[in-house]
Amino acid sequence: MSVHLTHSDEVFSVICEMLAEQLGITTSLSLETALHDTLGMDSLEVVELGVDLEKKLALTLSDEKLRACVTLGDLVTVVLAAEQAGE
Amino acid sequence: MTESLVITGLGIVSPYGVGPQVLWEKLLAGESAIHPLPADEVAHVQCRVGGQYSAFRAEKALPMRVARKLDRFTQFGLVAAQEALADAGLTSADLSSPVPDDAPAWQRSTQGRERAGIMVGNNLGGWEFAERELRNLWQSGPREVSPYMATAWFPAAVQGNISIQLGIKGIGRTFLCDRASSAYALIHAARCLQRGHASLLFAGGAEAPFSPYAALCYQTSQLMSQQQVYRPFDQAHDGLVAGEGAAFVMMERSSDALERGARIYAEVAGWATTHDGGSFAGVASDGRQYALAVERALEDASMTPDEVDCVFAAGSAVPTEDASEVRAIHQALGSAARRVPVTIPKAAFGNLFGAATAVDVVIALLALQHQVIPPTLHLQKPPADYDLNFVAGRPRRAERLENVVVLARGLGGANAALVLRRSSESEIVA
Repeated sequence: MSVHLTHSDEVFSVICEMLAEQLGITTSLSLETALHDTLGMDSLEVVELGVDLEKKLALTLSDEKLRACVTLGDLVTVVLAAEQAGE
Repeated sequence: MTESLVITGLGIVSPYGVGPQVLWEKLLAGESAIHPLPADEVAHVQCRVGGQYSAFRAEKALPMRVARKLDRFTQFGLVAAQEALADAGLTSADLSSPVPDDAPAWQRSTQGRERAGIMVGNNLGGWEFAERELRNLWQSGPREVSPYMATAWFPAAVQGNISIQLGIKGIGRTFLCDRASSAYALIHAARCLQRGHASLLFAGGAEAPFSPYAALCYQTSQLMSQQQVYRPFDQAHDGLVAGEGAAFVMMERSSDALERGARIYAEVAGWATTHDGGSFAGVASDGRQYALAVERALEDASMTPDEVDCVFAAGSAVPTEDASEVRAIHQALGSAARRVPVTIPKAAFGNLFGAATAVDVVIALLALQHQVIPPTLHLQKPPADYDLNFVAGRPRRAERLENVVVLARGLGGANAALVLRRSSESEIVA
């Protein structure tokens, strides 16, 4: 199902839900939360998250840009940029 | 003189469940763990039974974040290795933590960082995971293939994941040699300890053979039973039945084990490997090279055939292999062959292929501990010319059970033999 998002908070919320489901992460998250240093995510987990976001949001995300993300805020930025590019 | 090596911990996941206790109890009770496999998974093959640990729930045994990225064989391996670590009276912190200056010698000897290693035997890798992802690829395209596909399938996944989860930073290797895989892993662990490459070595194997493609490959090999019964050395034997699980032991130099007050199961007294050098698909019928592996292992252990108290045979139940193995045992043990009890506990739960020898070693350690030889199920009548002292039907309490020979062989003509000797420090459980 394609979900059209207009607000970065909604994108962040979707990402948090996916992290809870995928990695069992239930701790408090913010845009500054570091993917690797805080959540301990490796590159494969980031790619998996990206693929799940693609399916959920009907987007195409570059693996290279995903792997370059340091924080959850970076991920939101990549998603919003992909959304704009697809409009 | 090379220092003796001992086993100080064991961990096992068998078709009966997790841990040695359930395995030992079921073996002595003569309870088979071989059952019909899910019909939709085996409709395409002739051997439709196996030793499957169907109650296993990876998400209960391991953190979800870890388990979901792994094939079943790695999940088994992780659980068994964790059990072996705990059974050895150690924690992950003991494997890789920095070493203070006043630490005991056994910790200081390898500088505290690379003292622990891992040796694994596996034959198939993670085909259940792989088949699922291949289906996704061809049905839905590459974007549907899990990013964990490569790391989940490859046979070294057990080695890698155990090293990550337990903090092992030393030497490691994975051996692929069919049903002799974990024999090679155990032997290499022993050699590495003797050469001072490590102080603590996990050695064992893991296997999860119940994927449709893997089952088809084994059927193509024509080694699987069509009668749906695993009966090594019985006159009605007709081939293998698979089992799944994992087994690991902790191996150390005797002096290190004694210094840290470890419980010692047995000494790894000797070992040897040979090759038949003949056909890839069939064993050498004369059993000569297989016998040579046994002879060399005994020589390595400074043991004569008269001192052998029990043989755990490879017992594939493939008629030509059984016959060859019988010849090998007779050649290697000579006049002692008719006396020495021979048993094949795996008849009760299936052949775990790459993990088979590790499982045999764990059972042999339990046998030494309890002074009881577990029986070979389904062995009702061996051919008359086999003329060996099979332990069939019921467990046998041993008058003396000190020295056990464990045998293994694999496709391509690989032969291996290990000799276990009960240590004077080993406890006997009544």
